[in-house]
Amino acid sequence: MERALVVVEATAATKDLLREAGELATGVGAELILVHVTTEDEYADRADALAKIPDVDVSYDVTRARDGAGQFARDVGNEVLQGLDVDFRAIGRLGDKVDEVLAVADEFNCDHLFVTGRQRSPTGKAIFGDRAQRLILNFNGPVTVTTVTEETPA
Amino acid sequence: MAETGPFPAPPATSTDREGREIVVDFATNDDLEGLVDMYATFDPAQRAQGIPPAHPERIEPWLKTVLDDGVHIIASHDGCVIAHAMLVPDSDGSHELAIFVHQDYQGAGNGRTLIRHLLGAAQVEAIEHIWLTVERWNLPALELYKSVGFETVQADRFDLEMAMSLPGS
Repeated sequence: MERALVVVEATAATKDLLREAGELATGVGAELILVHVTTEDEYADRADALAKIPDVDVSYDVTRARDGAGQFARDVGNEVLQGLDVDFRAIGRLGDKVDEVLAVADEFNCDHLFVTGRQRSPTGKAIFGDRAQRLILNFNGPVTVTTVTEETPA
Repeated sequence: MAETGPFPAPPATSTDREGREIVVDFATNDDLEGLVDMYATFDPAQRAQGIPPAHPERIEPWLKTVLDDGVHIIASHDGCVIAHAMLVPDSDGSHELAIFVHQDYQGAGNGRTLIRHLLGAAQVEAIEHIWLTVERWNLPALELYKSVGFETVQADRFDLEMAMSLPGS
């Protein structure tokens, strides 16, 4: 592992994942690429919400959305990787979560992916989510998928 | 050909292909200990999709969570739990099925006995829609599910999803 990509989501599970990736990367001297993808739907929702607030002089556009996504990844990285001797870069993208992650992995020649994405079914089975599954099938290298460890919902 | 029911409801006693007397009944609160004991010696190689939990200390919390709701039946031999089958409700009014037969009691028709009685119990409880996921290389389980009427509804994932509808009473 020389350069690994970590998919950063707005979930608590992401922090556990990133911590694990950070410790591994520190051990082998690898670099991390942190990617947060804002989907078109999320972008549209936020743009709508902002447009409805009168007198707010904020122009929310594609560039801002991308910068915001990158800033989010950077903030999570600064918080979680604090104290670890690991270099990371934060990237924000707008679009499909799987396609964009694969594109970034390709651009930066990443050789390992880290993603959260196994959920618990009612009986407690760990089931791969669609995104994790698509990443595993389409990435040419090892993919680490962590299980969301929350208790089974009632 | 798949069986179409009606399925037998617990309690029941049968003899497995090894000549052992197997008692099938609904699980009660008193069975927790027996279930923990069975899962504690469950062959790790036969864990499916993360259950039963690999760490012994996580077996009881997992059991308590699933036993909290749904339909649970167990098979016993000489007073020891040897298999457990469950229907756990999801948020859509459907139930997820899971079944575990201890390795010492596999290949003797016990899985089939248990799942038929679980479906019988489901009919008693007026449960109509049941689904499950199964690893696609687990051929004995796939055959068992097909034989009682499950059909594959989602095949483009790692794990196959199967479902069946029980006739309403």
